[in-house]
Amino acid sequence: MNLNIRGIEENTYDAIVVGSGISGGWAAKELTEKGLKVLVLERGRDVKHIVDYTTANLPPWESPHLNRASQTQLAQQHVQKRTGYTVNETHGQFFVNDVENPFIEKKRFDWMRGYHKGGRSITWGKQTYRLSPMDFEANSKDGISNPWPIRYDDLAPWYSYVEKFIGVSGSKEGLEQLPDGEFQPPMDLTIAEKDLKAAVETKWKGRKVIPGRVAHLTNPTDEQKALGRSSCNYRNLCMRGCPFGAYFSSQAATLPAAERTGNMTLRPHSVVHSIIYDDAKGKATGVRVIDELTMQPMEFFAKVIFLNASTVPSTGILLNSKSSRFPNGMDESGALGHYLMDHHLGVGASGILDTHADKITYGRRPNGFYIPRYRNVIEKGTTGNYIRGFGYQGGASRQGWSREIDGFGADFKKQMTSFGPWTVSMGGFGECLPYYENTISLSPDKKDKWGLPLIVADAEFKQNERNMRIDMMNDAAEMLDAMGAKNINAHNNEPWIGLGIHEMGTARMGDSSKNSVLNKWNQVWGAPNVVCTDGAAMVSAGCQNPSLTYMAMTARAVNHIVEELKKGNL
Amino acid sequence: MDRRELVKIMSVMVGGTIALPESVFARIAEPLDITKAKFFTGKQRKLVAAIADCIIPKTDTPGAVEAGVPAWIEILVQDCLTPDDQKIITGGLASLEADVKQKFNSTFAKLTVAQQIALLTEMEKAAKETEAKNRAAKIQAPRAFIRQFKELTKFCFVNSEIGGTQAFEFIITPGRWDGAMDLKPGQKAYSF
Repeated sequence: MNLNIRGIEENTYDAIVVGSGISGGWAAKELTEKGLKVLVLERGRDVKHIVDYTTANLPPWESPHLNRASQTQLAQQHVQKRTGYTVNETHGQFFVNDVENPFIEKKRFDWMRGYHKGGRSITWGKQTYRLSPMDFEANSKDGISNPWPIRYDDLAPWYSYVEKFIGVSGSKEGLEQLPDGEFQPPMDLTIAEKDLKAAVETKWKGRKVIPGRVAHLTNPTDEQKALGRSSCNYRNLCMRGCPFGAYFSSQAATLPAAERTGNMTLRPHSVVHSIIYDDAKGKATGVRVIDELTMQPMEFFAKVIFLNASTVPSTGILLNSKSSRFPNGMDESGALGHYLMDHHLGVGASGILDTHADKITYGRRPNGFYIPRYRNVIEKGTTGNYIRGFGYQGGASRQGWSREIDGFGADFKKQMTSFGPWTVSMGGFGECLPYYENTISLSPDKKDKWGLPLIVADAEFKQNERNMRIDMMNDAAEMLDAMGAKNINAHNNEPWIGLGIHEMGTARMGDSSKNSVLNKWNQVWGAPNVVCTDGAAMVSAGCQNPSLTYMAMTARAVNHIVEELKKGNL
Repeated sequence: MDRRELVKIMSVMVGGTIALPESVFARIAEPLDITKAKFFTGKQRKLVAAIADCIIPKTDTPGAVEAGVPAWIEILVQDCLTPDDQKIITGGLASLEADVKQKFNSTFAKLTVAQQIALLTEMEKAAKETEAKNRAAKIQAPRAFIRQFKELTKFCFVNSEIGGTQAFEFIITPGRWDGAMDLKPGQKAYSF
C-alpha cells in the first residue's frame, strides 16, 4: 500500500488525531462516537491489547537476565534508564530506543518516551487526581506567568465524565485542595499505613493520609465489562501491559471504544512532520507525515486536527509548522516552546517500624497512600517563603529478601527467606512554577533520521522548588517520627526536569493570542481547527498527577469542536 | 508453575469472562542456558560456586548451587555489569583465593564452612566500615567485591525458579489484596 499516490479524497477524513496515548485515545473515542470519520496517526508500532503483552506472565527465570537490563540494553536506552525502573527485560520494550531517537540536552532533561500505540498509557503510574479550584486560580492570585482561561467548574463535569469511563479507585474525602470524583471502592491501606494516618491526622489538624486514587477497576461497571475489562488482580506487573484490562490504558478502553464505532482508522508508523496551513482559509487543512519504516512522505487532510503527541512532540510539531502566516511555527505570542514544567521529586523519607510483627500483606497493590497538599493551603510553608506546595505518595509494607542482612550461611538464609520488619516510605511530588526561560526548541541544523529537527531541551528547577524541597524532606521525616518509625532516613536528591514524567506546558492556554498559544477550548489562536489537549496546554502544574486533567480537557474540547463543526464555524 | 497452570488460574480469576488467547503465553521460555556463560575460567567457576554455596547453603530448602545460581551469576557478570564492576568481581575472586593460600595454605572450597563464613564475615565487615567512612567523607567509591557478590547471589537465588518457588513463596497472580493478613508460623517471605 502506497498512500501518497492516492488522491486527496482518499486521504481525507473528518478529523485527524496525532498520537494514540492517554489523550489521543480520548480524542479518538469522543470524535468517533460523535460520528466523525477519524484517522489516528501513531508514530510507532502497533501494540495489540493482551496479544502483544508478551511478558505479562513471565516469571523472572524465563528472562535472559532474570529481568535485569544488560549493558547492551542500557546503551540503547541510555536516557530511559535514568529513572532506575523503566529499563528492564519485561517492560523496557515500552520505552524508546534513545540511539534511534536522539535529542539535545542544553541542560539535563530526563525525557521518558513511549513511541508505540497506546504511548505511555501502558506504563503510566495511574495515580489519578483532579486539579482543584485553587490550582486554576493560582497564577492569577500569585500574579505570575499567565492566568488559566478556564476555572475548575469548566472542567468538573468532564472530570466526572472521564472518571466514570476509565474507572478510578479512591475514597471521598471532601477536601477543597483535592476534589472528590466518581470512585470505585478504594484499595485498603495496610495496617501500618493506618497507624501513619492516625498519627498524622491527630498531630496536624487538616493533614490527611488517604488511599491513593488510581485508575484501576475494583468494581467494574457494565460499560467497562462490555469492553472486556475486569477487576484488578493485584499483580503489580502493570507496566508489562495488563491482560485483564484492569487499569486504564488506550488499549484497554478508549481505542476499543473508538474501534467499535467503525469510524476509526489507526495508522501506525506515521511520524507527523508538520501541520499544513492554508493562509487564505485561515486554518489548517491537514498534516505532513513521514512513514517511520519506508521514509515515504505523505499528506492527510481533515476538517479538524487534534494534537495529542505528548507535551514535547506536540510543541515540536507546532514549531515545525511554518507558513507565511506563521513563519516561526504556529504561534503569534512568543509563548510557544516556553514554560516547560514537571513535578520535582526524589525527596522524602523512609523508616522502620517495630510493630505488627504478626501481620503481613497479601497481594501486590499497584498503589499506596497519598497525602494531599497542605502547605500554603492550611499550613504556610516554612522555608524561604515558597509559593504552591506538594503532595506525597508512599507505602508501608513488610521488608523482604532485598533488605540488607549481615552474615552468611544458614542463619543468613533463614533471615532472608523470612519477612523483615514493616518499613514505611514517602516521596514528595512538588509543583514547579512556569518559567519563560525553561524551553523546548528545534535545532536549527541537526535532524533525526526522518528529517525532523532535533528537540533541544533547556530547562531547570529553580529557587522556589529548591526552597519547597526542604519542607518536603523535613515534613516527611517528622510524620514518620510521629508514628514512631525508627532509623528514619530523609533524602533530597538533585532534581532533574523530566524525571517526574509529568513534563507539561510549552503551548499554554490563555485568554489572548498575545500571551498564549491555545484559547480556552485548546484551539490554536489563528488556526481554530487545530486543537492541542495534551500536557503542552497546561498553564500551571499543580502538584497532582496530571493525566486525568489531559483526558478531561480532551473530552471537553471535542465536545466544543463538534458543536462548532455543526454550526459551520470551522 | 507452567503456563497452562497460569492460564487456568487467570481464567478462574476473571470468572471466565475473558477468553485469554493462547498467544499471550506464546513466548518461549528462555531457561538458564549454561552455554551462554563464557566469562569465567574453570577455576573461577569453582570458586564462584563455593562462595555462593557458603552464602546460601542447602538447608531444608535448596541452596544457591541447587538453584543454578553460579551459572546465573556468570551470565549477569558477563552481560549486565560494567567493565569496571567485572574487574572488581574477577579481582575479588583472585585476591580471596590468594588470601586463603597465604592464611591456610589451601583453597576456599576446601576450607570448613565455619572458616569460610568467618572469612567472608570479616570481608563484609571491613567493606561496610570503608563504605561508612566514604559516606562520611562524601567520597563516591564502587562497592567492594564481597558486597557486590553477595547481592548478585541473593538476586540470582530469589529470581531463580528453584530458589524463588521453594525457599520463598512465589505468587504471580494474587487475585486479591489484604493489607493486614495474619502471618502463619514459619511462613516464607515472597520472592516476587
